[in-house]
Amino acid sequence: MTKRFGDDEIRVERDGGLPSAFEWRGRRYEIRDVIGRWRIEGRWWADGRDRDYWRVEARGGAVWDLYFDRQHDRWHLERLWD
Amino acid sequence: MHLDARSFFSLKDGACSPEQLAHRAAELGMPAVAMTDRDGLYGAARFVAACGSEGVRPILGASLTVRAPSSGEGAHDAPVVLLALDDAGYANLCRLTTDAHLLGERGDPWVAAEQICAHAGGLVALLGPRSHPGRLATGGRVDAAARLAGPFREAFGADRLRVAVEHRLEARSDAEVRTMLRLADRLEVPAVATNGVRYLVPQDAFLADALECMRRIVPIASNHVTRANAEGWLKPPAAMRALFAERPGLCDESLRLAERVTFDLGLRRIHFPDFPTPAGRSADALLAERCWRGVDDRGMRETPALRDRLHLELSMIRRMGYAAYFLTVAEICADIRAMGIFAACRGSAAGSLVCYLTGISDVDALRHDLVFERFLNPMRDELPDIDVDVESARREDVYDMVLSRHGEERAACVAMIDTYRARAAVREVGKALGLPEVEVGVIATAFPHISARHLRAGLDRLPELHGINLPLSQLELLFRVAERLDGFPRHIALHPCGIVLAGHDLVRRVPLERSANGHRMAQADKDDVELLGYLKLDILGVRMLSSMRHAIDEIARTTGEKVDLERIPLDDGPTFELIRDSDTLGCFQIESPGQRELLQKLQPTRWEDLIVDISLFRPGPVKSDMIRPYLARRGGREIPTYIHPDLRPALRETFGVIVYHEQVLRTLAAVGGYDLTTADHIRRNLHDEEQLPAFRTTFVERAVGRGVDRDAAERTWDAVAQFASFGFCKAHAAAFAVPTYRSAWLKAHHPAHFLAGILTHDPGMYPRRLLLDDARRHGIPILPLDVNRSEPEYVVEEIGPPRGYGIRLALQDVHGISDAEIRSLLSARADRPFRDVGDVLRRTIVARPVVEALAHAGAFDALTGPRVGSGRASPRPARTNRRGHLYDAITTEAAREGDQLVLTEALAPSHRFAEYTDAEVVRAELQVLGLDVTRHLVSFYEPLLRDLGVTRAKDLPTRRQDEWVLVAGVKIASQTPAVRSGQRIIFVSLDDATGPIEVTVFESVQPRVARTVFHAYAMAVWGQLRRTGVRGVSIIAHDVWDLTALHRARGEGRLHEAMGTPQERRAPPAGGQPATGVGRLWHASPGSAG
Repeated sequence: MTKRFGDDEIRVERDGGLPSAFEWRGRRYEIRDVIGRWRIEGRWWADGRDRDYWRVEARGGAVWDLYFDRQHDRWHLERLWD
Repeated sequence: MHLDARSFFSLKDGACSPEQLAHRAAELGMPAVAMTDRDGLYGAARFVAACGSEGVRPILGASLTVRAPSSGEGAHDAPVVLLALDDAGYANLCRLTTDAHLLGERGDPWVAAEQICAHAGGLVALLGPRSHPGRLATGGRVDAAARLAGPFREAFGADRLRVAVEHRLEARSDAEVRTMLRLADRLEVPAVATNGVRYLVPQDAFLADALECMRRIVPIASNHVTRANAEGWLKPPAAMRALFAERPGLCDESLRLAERVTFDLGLRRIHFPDFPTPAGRSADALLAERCWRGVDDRGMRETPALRDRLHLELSMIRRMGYAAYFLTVAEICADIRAMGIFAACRGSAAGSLVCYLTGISDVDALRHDLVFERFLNPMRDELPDIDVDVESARREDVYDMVLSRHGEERAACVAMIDTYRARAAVREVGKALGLPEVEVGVIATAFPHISARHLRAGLDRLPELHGINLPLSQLELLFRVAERLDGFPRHIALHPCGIVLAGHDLVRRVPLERSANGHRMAQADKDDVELLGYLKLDILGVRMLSSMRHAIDEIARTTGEKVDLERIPLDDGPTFELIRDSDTLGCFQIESPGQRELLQKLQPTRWEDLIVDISLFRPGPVKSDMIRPYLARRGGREIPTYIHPDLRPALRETFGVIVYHEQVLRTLAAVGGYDLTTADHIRRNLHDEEQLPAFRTTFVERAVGRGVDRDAAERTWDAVAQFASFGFCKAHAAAFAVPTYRSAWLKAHHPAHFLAGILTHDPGMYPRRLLLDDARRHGIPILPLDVNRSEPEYVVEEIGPPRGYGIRLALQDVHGISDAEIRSLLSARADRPFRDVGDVLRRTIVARPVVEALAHAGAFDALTGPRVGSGRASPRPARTNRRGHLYDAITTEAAREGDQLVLTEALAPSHRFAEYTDAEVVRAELQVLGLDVTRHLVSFYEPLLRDLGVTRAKDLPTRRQDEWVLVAGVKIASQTPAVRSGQRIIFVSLDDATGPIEVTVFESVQPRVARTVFHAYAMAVWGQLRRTGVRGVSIIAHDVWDLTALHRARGEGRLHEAMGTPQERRAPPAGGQPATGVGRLWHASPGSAG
């Protein structure tokens, strides 16, 4: 099961280029492992989306998909994998 | 190091040129780079050349489309990338690519996996994630994938089969790489890193999307775009290594493969054609034999001069290895003539005696003192090519003959890369972006053929675009893409004339495909062909030759006389009289107003005069004022002078004026002591400012060393340097003079037949209307369109004694008529003549609107007399005039379907139809034929022209420079050509029944008058007279009126009102000053009809 969030903006701490923790709805989640990363870019004829995705495992075992919006320089939370 | 990269020769798939690919690879420090275009090797020669200058090793390959093994659900074509290691591999690659194109439908190339495996030698195969096995594997069926790849494993071996992995930083990429590596393990072959490159930098990924959607003709949208991100670019080595940091062997393997490539395309090495010779005979011996036989055939005397000249040419040809080429071309020319088609060689090849003796050319190089070295010599850095003109209407037949006679493996047509220009780019991108068609159309058509690069500048500058109703953001998007498409290949077309003549290795070095009309065509354009070292023959379709053929056929048909143009006397009195009278409308090369004026001054009396006339009437000689001294000396008003007596032999024929390239060579030889080869080398480099001083010094020193006075030597050089770039190749002019003389001969002796040919094939610069005028001036009746007598072409009919001939108007020019309709009309007519309109409707497939047009233009006027009933049609009196025929054409119902005629019998017979008025007749002729047959159109405006007080064309030459004049006429042509200054200039030609009037419309007045200029078919122009060039009369437009509007206004008594006040009319001159701030928009673009 996955749960989608409305692309909530989050604050991310980085460590050596990799995200190490993020803060969402007032709570801080520590990242224990980066499981995957990928990039999507396109739709230049519309909104010109350009994102770096990170699939991370937070402490407690939950897996989250975060992305960095390269166009607007912002982090968002997209998904929680239960 | 990339093994899989596409250029823009993967049409609408790759977003860079071969040159850019080579350049970028070098920039990134790659030792080698592969170009693997989809189903083609179009860019191969360019790519190899570019890699050579960039210092990168080129790897040639292709991404071949493989048809799905089964036709089941989800069976798609899929690519396999093949790379050539050696000659055998490249030959196989060419063969497979050729098969892909020739075995399937045009535009849908594909091969079967078995074919690839059957020609695997010397090739490396890359099975990537998008290949059939790759898809199975990434779909989770690695075992099935390995089975499917089995034949590849067997054919290519572990040595030359590779599994290609890509890591595109997509969500599934990690898994995909792992799966592909498992496939490699299963096949026991190494895997190699690739990146499926379609663009050089990530910022260009948008182009790949646009191209992809344009190719598939779908709107640009997420679900139509295959990429998820912009990672498919030409990544630098470090970035590729970083992608596969855990498996460095993948990148190492790509380098290892690159090192194994030994193939060299071998650019610029000449590959001579094969010519089968009898056992024990060399091509050289055979050519010599043919030439000596030619001496007899041409009835030439074997003089020492002839022997020396032939010896010189043959030894040069032997030394350079061209004998087989000459033999091949000679055979082709003989074959063309054997088909009953005129063939004539043009260009510098006419300067060769060998060409004359072998029947390639009709110009006696010896008699006209032409220089062989101008055509062929060891110092020339370009391959010689021979241009052969043939009848335009038979060009396809000639192509078919050459390609089949000459063998499938040795000859092919040359391709032509059709590239994007603004108009096409805007249309296609606009469509893909989903912009409204009307708006996109306005933008697209507003531009002349300017390059996409200048779109934005054009938007700022063209007033007609200011009202465009599209959001700026959309336009910017449109332009952003369209701008980048500039120079991209759009499709691969057939070159209009080139044929490669090669040896049997052609198919091993160039893939072939099929052109739209079915000819075998090399995947190489003319530059590629030159790079590849192949000789070519240019076969040009020339309408004048078809016109003359038609004339000769018509002479034979109507008089029984068989004219042989090769045997007509070359000093025919009436012909030269016609030329001196400049009655040369329709004649080859000498029909323009300027030429006719020159003929009058030059008064040619001999064949040689035609050569000089053609040579002098060029922009260079006109501008540099070579004509005046020539004419003065010729006319005896000036004494010919020679800088040095040694120059007399070379320059005597033109009274000391340097006119020909050949004279430049001979001057250099006579004074500087150069051989003609070196002289030609100097001549061809005279445009090079850097080399000039050295040339001059050497020349002068050599001349002085030979005892020439220093001052004379220097003046000789300056004369050479000044005129060399303006001179004309005498051989070329001599070749032109052949059809020039023959066409003039035909016009002098058979004017009606000649004009019928010209009208049919329309070879010249004048519209048919003007040619009809010419016929009228010669007293040749123009016979009306007649449904029972008109032929597809213009034909000649004898109209009673004394041997008068008229020209019958042709069906081919009936607006909207198709070839099938003409055939139907002719075959029905062969059974029995048509009786009336209904007869045509019943017995032919001619569409009703076309029948109406025929009636309207008078094609039934000759049908009168009582009408006999037939079949279901009830008898009724025939129509006796045109309005009646037209009525029939419109009302005769459903006769074709076999229904009862529902013609309103009660009304029709008793109905009186008024005759067409004269104006109606001419209007109908213009509507249907585009010709005013019975009267000149302008004649209807005569009262108006009188009231306006216009200056007639025939009086213009007597007017002063800068005089203000009012002219009027029917528009016969308008043009918006490239002009160096960059401003848009409209040239309009008017015809007022006394001659043509040239009008120039500069940008400064265009906002006011452009609309009228483009849309009115008859106009009055107020402007200033300018003298330019030889002919030198042009009207610089200041104001323009639609003649029909003035005509109406005159009828309503408000002509002066319509013309505006005198003050307005005499406003400051329009002037030729370019508007300021004008970009060089139209500099490099060809003209377009306005």
